[in-house]
Amino acid sequence: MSNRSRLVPIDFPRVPLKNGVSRVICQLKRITIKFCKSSGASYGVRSFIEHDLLDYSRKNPEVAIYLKPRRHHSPVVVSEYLNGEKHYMNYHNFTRDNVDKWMNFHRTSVGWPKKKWRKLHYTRTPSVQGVWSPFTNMDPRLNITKFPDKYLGIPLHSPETATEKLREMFEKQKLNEENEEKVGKVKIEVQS
Amino acid sequence: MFLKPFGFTLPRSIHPKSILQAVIPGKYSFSTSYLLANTSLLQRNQHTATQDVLEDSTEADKLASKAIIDKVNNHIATDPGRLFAIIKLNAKQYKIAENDLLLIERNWAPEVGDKLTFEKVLLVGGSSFTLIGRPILPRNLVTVTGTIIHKDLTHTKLRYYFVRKKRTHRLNFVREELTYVRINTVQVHPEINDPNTTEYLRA
Repeated sequence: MSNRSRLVPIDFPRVPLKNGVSRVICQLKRITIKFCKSSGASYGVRSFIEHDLLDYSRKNPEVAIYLKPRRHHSPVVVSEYLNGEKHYMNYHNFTRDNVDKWMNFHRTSVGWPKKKWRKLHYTRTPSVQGVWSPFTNMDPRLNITKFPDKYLGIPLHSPETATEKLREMFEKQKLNEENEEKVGKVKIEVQS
Repeated sequence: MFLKPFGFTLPRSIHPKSILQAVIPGKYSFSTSYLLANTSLLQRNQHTATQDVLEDSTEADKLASKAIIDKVNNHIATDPGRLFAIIKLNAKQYKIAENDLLLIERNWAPEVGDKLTFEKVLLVGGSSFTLIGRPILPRNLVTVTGTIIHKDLTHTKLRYYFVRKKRTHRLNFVREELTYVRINTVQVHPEINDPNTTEYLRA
């Protein structure tokens, strides 16, 4: 396989004629089976024509089927689609089951040239409740604050400074002293 | 050396070696008696997943929740507008809305033209409400339907397999099967929190 055949057009997934929104339309319009009446390579195709082709055409009345016998060539199937695409496929030495499988594949396929889909999902309604952003459920206070702000400007995770530690210790001491005083007062009251 | 018994892990508080020495005379051999002796200990430490149901205890709470449910019911009954749903399909979750196109990258049984009803709906949301299933919503509350429209093959992918220092590498060219699904309807039926509709129907 050459590298060139890997270079396929990239696109977002889509389907012809908005297929499936209200109805499903078979995209296959016409299918031509070219085969040989005598050679072994078209044996499977011949048995498919004998046993399964009538059923196939009855099931898919919207598809026109053509048979084109030609001497000493390997069998080929040409499928034409509603959008004008034309695909050739060689059925050389295919079994009857294989032929059946690939004929059904042509019927169900989109009919577009090979494409690489960017996503496997296409939507016209990407969001119903609104696209989330970091600000969606935030306090609207930020809208009216003036920057630089004294409290918002404080770094979130700053280590405690020595002065802060001292201040804390001092305040703890103060509290303890107050408590002791209170307790002392209560004691005195009890005594009295 | 840290020893780990077969099958399950020991709680953090007990050092495995200490129990081993106490129960089994042999140095590093495990026996069923050891496992049996300690099952009760292990069970005590296992956390079973439970679901808390918060019931409205006060009258005010009951009124508030009723007001919310009535609002949602009213919204659904009048005009729910555009809805979205999260469905589970082939072990994957998709967030879908009406007329969406889903491509499923695998061989899937339903044929082209088949109409499907997706029954594993995990969540449904509108512009003003969201219904969350536990884990799925009851079948008669929500209906999500879709149609299979095409079955095709992907572009040719490269599948490269390589084992270091073993002289094995393989390059395969693969075209996966693609099933195109069109989502047709996402509907919520009125009367949420009604015991008749919210009960799970089992076939």
